[in-house]
Amino acid sequence: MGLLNILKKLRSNPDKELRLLLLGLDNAGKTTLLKQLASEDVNHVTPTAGFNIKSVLSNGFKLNVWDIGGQRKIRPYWRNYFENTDILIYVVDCSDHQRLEETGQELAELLEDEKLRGVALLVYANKQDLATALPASEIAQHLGLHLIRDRTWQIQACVATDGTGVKEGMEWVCKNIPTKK
Amino acid sequence: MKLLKFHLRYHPPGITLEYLSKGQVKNKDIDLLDLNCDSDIKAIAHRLYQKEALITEEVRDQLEQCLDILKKRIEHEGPSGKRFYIYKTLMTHVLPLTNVAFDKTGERQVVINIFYSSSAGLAKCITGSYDRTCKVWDVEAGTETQTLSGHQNVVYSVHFNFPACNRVLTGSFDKSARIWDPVTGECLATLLGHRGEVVACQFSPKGDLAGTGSMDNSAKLFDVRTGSEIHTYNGHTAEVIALQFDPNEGQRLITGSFDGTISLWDTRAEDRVSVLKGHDGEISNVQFNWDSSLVGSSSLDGSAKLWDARQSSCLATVSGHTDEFNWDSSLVGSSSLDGSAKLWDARQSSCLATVSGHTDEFNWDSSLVGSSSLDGSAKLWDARQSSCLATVSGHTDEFNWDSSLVGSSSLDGSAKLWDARQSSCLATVSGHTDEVLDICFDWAGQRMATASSDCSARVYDVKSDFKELAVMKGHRGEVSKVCFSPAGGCLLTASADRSSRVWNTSTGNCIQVLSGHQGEIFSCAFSYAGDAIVTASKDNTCRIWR
Repeated sequence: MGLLNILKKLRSNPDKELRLLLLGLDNAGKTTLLKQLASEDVNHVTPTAGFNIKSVLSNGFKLNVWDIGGQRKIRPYWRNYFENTDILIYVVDCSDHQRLEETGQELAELLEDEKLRGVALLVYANKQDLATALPASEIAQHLGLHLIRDRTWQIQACVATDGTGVKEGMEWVCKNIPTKK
Repeated sequence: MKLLKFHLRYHPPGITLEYLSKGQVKNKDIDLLDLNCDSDIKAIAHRLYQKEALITEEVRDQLEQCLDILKKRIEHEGPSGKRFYIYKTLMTHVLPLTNVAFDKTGERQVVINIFYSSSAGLAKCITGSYDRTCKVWDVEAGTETQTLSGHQNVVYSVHFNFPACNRVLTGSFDKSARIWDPVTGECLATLLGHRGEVVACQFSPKGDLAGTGSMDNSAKLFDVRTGSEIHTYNGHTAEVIALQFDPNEGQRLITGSFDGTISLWDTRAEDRVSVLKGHDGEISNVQFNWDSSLVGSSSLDGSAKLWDARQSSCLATVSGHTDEFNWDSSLVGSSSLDGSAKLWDARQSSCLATVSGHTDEFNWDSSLVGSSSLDGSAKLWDARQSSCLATVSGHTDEFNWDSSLVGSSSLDGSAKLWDARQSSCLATVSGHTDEVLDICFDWAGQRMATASSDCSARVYDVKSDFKELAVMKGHRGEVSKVCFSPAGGCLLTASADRSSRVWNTSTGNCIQVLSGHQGEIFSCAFSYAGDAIVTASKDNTCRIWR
């Protein structure tokens, strides 16, 4: 994955190729989810200081998944990656009660961005295996998902570390692929 | 005429004679492209003495000393030469780096009457990053001297204007390019107009023009001083990801595209001069060699190709021609039933030459001339040698010559525009077993190196038989960048395996592994003096090795 490959992935994608953008606060589980999607070992995940890109085949589509670091100081740079996004995937750590408000604010900002206008949204309510995790329905309420009118959205409970619910989310993604211009 | 000074150019090796002619100081460049460790200095000096009137008996000793300095410069490299150690890790970028470039500090060393004075300053390098900035680093101190901020997205492509190095050009995913003063950090101009990310850019050799290549499938030419657009080069059907000016005149531009073709453009015209077709996959890089005679291209089809930038073929056929026609914007040719052809200077409206009967040769000022005849043939003339270079019959064949646009006309009612710069493929090298990701020539333009997803790099001879000279194997991930050391003894590679390696270009042996980066290495470069290496990584750091 040198710079040239990044340019290749930057192209407005041909048919059957999708650009998925994976965002969320730090420690939400984005990289673990990415590795789970690519069927890789999820045991040695470290905070992402930049980004990771992986291509996954699913239901006849090539999904180019961009996992972007979520630390506060690099969130202003999320906009670098918005161009040509087909599906936005937002990952929430459901056990991190203290930062529910923060994650809601970040998502609200994303949904207001011109470059992501109308882009379908999948929210992964991650870490459902932890005892303190809130259920997906409550997360949806906190995030105000029911108020979204300008795009299709879905919330999917999941456990990124063992893969529970991940596949279901991707099936929704494949069903909601935007028609290419 | 009186010789004043010898100027030495290290890379590629050369000498410039500074002399006095009719009260004016002039320069004459002499390339010594095949100078190497085994060269016989006395023999070369003798050859130059015989050939060059400016070089007299009194200065032969000085000339030999100059040649010796150049030769030593080449010898100090190589397997028995320098080793590199981590010198500084620069950590102030907050996101992954993209491309890097060194300035050309100490490019020209001056020898004045044997007293050797070095003009070297402190070497600088620049780095682009996903954090939207380009940083300027002092290589010696290992400190950041300036942050160029203003771009609204990733800074992808970074370049100095050589040889002055007092300007920086950046190409960004924000669809613009900017020109900066690297000392003050001030943005001097924003080059607007592209509708896609700017992923390739370069200053022309004279520094007055800037070229940009974009994901919007076009390339553009800008005036550096005003920041205004001069041309938009349309013709590619996919992203333009590589761009370079010819290193000599700077009037030619090549672009490489994901559409699998390479285009040649002229800075004085908007229309495409020619297209090089032959690759079966996306172009990953394209480069001129030092004397602009060759174009090298690398492609994701797994091959690299060499093109003769001087061989010509028919560019366009204009039908319905009856009178004068235009070429090169300045010359006009006309043919007549009286059996003569005339060539006109459009700027002065004067007749420059008349060819009669298609048998006489005629003189010309530094250009080439085409003429046509009732016998259905066209002839090409080299004004400098006063000889006929080629005759084309039937107006269908391709013909050869050197570096200009030429027109020919015929009684068949058509005029043809021939372009010296449309090229034919000289060689295709396909030693790699996977995508070829990068290509570069050595400074003297004698060899070319390729980097591939197959984890290897390869070096080829480009001056004679295009033979594979060395294979560099050892990386455990794709090799995405390759560059020669200035003197040509070493090859530097950057890999996804998080290491950079230094290789012996003759044997292919790995001399050194530069490891320590925590992420894959996106780009690497040698300083002009060959004494420093910079590597830029996805791990947000940049490392200087000395």
